Amino acid sequence: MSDRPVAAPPENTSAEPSTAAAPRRTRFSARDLLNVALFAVLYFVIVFAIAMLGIVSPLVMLLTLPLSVIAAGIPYMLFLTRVRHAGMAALFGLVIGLLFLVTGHPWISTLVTVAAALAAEAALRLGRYRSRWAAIWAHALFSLWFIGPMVPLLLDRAAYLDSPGMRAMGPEYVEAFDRTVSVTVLWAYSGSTLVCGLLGGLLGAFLLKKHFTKAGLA
Amino acid sequence: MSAPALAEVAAPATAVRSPGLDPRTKALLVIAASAAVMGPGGLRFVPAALALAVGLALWERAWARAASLTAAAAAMWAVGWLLPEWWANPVTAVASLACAYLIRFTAAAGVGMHLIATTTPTALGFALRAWNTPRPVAVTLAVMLRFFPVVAAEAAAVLDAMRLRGLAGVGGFLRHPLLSVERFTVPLIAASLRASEDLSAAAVLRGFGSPRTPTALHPPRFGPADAVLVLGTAALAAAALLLPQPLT
Amino acid sequence: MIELEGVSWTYPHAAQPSLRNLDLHIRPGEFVVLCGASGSGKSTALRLMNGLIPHFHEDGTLSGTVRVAGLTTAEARLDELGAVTGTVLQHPRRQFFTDTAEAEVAFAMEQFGFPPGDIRARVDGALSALSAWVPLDQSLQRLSGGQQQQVAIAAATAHGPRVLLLDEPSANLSADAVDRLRAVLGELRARGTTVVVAEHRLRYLQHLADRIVVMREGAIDTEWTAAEFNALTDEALAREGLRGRVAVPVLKPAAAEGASVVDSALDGAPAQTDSSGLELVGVKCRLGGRTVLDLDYASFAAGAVTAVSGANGAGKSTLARIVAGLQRSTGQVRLGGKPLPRRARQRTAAIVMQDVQRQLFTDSVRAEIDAAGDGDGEAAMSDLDLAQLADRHPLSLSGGQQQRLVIATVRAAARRVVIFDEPSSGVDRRHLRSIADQIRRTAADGAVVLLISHDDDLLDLAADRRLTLRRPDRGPTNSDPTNSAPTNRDRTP
Repeated sequence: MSDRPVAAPPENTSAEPSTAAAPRRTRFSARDLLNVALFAVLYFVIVFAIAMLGIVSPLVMLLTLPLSVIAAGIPYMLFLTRVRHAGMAALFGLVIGLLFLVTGHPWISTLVTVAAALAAEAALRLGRYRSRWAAIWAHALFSLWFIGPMVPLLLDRAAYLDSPGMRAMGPEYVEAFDRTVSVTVLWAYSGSTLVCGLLGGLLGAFLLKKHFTKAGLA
Repeated sequence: MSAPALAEVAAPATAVRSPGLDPRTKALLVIAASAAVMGPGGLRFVPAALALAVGLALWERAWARAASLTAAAAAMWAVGWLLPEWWANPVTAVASLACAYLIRFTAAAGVGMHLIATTTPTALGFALRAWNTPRPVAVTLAVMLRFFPVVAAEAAAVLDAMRLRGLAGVGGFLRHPLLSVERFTVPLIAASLRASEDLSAAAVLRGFGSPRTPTALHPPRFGPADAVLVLGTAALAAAALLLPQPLT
Repeated sequence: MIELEGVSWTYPHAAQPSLRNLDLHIRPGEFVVLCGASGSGKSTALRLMNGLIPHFHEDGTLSGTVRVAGLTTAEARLDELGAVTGTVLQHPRRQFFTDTAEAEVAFAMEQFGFPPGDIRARVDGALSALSAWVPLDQSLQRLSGGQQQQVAIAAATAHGPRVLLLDEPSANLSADAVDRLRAVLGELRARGTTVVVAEHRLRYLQHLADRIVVMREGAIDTEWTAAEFNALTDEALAREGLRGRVAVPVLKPAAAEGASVVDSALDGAPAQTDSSGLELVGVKCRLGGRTVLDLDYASFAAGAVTAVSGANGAGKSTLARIVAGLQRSTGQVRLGGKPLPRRARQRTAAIVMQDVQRQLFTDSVRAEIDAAGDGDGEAAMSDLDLAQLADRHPLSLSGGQQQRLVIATVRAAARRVVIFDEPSSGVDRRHLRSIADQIRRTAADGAVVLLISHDDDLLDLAADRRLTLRRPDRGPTNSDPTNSAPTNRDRTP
């Protein structure tokens, strides 16, 4: 991964001269890796802190879960302003995925996260690592990792429907539940994650302009 | 209140005690626990994984973690398994389903917490390199471990500041969720960037993350403690397969 | 050893260059002090010498050449420069990568790939030199500021760099910790290490420095030889905006007693209970299984500044958090004689944090003050000299301006208890007097002011009384627990 060639960032004519004159880097510098690490931690802490607010009740969870997808756009979009070459978004996804593994997420979640990060990387590449809309879409695509924790519920469906609470309700209820909470629901969940991810990208882009650019941090 | 404040409150009097485990053993345990617990039919491994997680916490004398893991698992068992027995309704049914999932999460996270709590950033870096992990991944994961307490301290300080300014109320959060999110994340990011700046500069100047191959003063080595742990884990896994399964 | 030729540097997003056409040659083994007022460029010059400029501050504009030990910094990698230079930044606590002295001293050599036997030998050498002063088995974050400074210097020099760069090493050190620092620097000088120190306090470097370079507005203003410097009086230094000695504040002890208190003012004498200010009665707090604060009684007068000092882990921050209602405790907190419950304290007290970025929430100075409360925002803004910055983004301000903004929000909200947490640590020493003025004025408005600080210069200017805390579980000793070199008691765990 370290030897991956740079995806030749186009010499944007409108960019500041100092940026254009910067030497093209062919591998991750120590600075790049520290940036990935810091923003990965910020991303994790922000998502985790906001999702945890919902632990008090399932109703609040309905608010906090989408909100955490949206809030994730703030650190992610700022991170993308510091991406100077290919592979950083993919590395970000890989380390976040491994961090999920250590914090109890199903191992499948890690694979989903890496896949989502590769999709985000592809979107950035299409925008030649310079486009704002590509960055917003990259965030939406990366947000699809939120599907990861739900995958075991799908793979091991029979076992979960066999939970004591379900059994106690009798076979008819379980059958009805099985029919209602079908694969369609998972598609709806994925779709709304994508929408929230887009909103998060927009919020991130808005706050970049409102705060971080003015503060000289972006 | 501030980084030193948190350090003062949270830092143990003596530096991290090394329980003598190779970080690679801990990482393998995490992967094994997740694979066992989260895979199809994983519920049968949950008691074993919980026992492992609590055992590791006791080993490193993290009494609070041992207690909270036990309490969390007990609560989920009560809601997921006991409650529906005598009060069956759609709400408890869904809660039971959720608990069947969350108890697996807790078991896997418990094993992972041991890795995070007992591994120093440099030890993790050397262990990953011993596995020939590519430099970018090894370096990034190691430094994330270092940044975690920094960002956590900043997050706690920002929440304190929000409380003192009256911005942290539940009511305000429900009325203006996006504004609350902005007021938490923007100072958190700004303060974390600043807090990490000196740390990053000092680390890079001392060769951290460079293309050189580092050498370890204490290289990772599998020792007797690792053997004991692997045998113990094997015994737990065998017990999970052979003994009656309380959760299924 | 170090050659700066015609160097100009402008930070990204800065309007003015920080260094203008700077020429400076430093010979091998020379001990050079860079001094000058805030913004004179002395810290920037240090960052040029270790390559943080231009490698760490990307997008700035650099011209001229910098060569260190034969390397041209703009072309070398940072780790190559780090191998020949050792750097100690202003806050050692913030640059430690590990948690023990052993690991920290080994860190650079490990990363540079030294042979393990060599690392072991050098680490053992460094640790035996440290062991007389630093408890080696303690977490680095727990050490006193002076001890942290010593570990940071050991960690920066163990890999044998020929150049050592230090950025204001005496900031936040007490007078006796500065003496220790002088001894450590003297040993390095005797070994032939080239040393460059950016510093505000100068007297302790007398007899060490070969040359003192005074900077002004990004260029060299004056140079003194050691002899010329020795002949200068402190008054002459003050005319250049420089400081000589560290002040030793003489403060009356605050009225307090309990296991956490050093030098109780109430020894035998009856408590002159002052019910007009803030009183803590029977306040005890346990965290993580141990008692971190134990005060039978403490009173803080309204309209006065009470300094709160004590070693790391003595409970200063816990006290501040209890007073501000952020931390539960037993006992009672009273203001003006009336008990103040925890939630109410959150609305009555304010903290000016060490890193003020944590408490800036909006996108303009005016919005920040308006959001703080319904007090007189305009008056607070003009009082603190912020009116011309009203439309600026708070995060784009300098550290000192950000701090003034937070103080303005506190005053606009008319908080009756104000806690300053190490207010001089992130701010240039030139602003010390203005910070002291702000603290004084906050007290003059009638607020109860607590000032947590190690900074003797600041305490000398701003504090009226002092409450010195110590770990309540360590037996009744009255030895000074501030930044001094540890006594034998401290060395045994």
